[in-house]
Amino acid sequence: MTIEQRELLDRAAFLEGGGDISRFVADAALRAAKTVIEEHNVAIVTDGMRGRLYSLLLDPPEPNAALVELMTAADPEGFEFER
Amino acid sequence: MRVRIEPLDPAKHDRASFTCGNPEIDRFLLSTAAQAARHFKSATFVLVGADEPATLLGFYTLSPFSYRDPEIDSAIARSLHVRNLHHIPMILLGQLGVAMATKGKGLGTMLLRDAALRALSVAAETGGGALVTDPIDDAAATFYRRFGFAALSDDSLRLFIAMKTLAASLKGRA
Repeated sequence: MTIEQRELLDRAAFLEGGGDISRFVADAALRAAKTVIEEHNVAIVTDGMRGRLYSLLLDPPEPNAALVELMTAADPEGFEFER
Repeated sequence: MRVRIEPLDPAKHDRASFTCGNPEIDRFLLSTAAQAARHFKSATFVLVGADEPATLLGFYTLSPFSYRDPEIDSAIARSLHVRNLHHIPMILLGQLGVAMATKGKGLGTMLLRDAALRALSVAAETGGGALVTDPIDDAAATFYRRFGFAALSDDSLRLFIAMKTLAASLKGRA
């Protein structure tokens, strides 16, 4: 890394990371990693969602009335769908 | 009015005139959807009138999606049959928009139904445990939640519905 690049990081970290360069760099890298992963249509299971995710997949809720209506009802008034 | 849902075809469909009231969604349809479909990254389906098939009444976009869990419990991994890969396949409903001129006539729900049916058929072919969507605003979130889409963590707006729940809905159980 050149001195100029180091100074640039210093200034940016001062403006947005409380001056902590390693924290600033880690935050930026994490943001970039998230974007890359989203681009590839993959997300990571977080601790906050793990329990509810596996319960959703292994013990899925019954469809509610609105969903049954959505999936089985006739076409909306005034529209005839070609199938 | 006779309508149909068909794959987006830039040679046939007038994307530039479409507006659903959200510039971000309109921009996706105009400049990303067709290219993404050409590269098999996502697939976009449009709702058109049979007599005026160039005019888009609405559209939606699906793509494969997966969750990776490096810390998955081995018993859960076995139950889900994901084992070593730790990849949980899903399907992303990336976009859904209804033309401003035809809002409030039930076409959004028709698009969602078609998207859900297509997601079910894709999931039956290649896997996909849930249909996932990132609602663009509160109104969209309310729309999806009505049908049972739910968030899985308190700090995320992303909504999920299990493919098994969608499958059961076809049998009319409620």
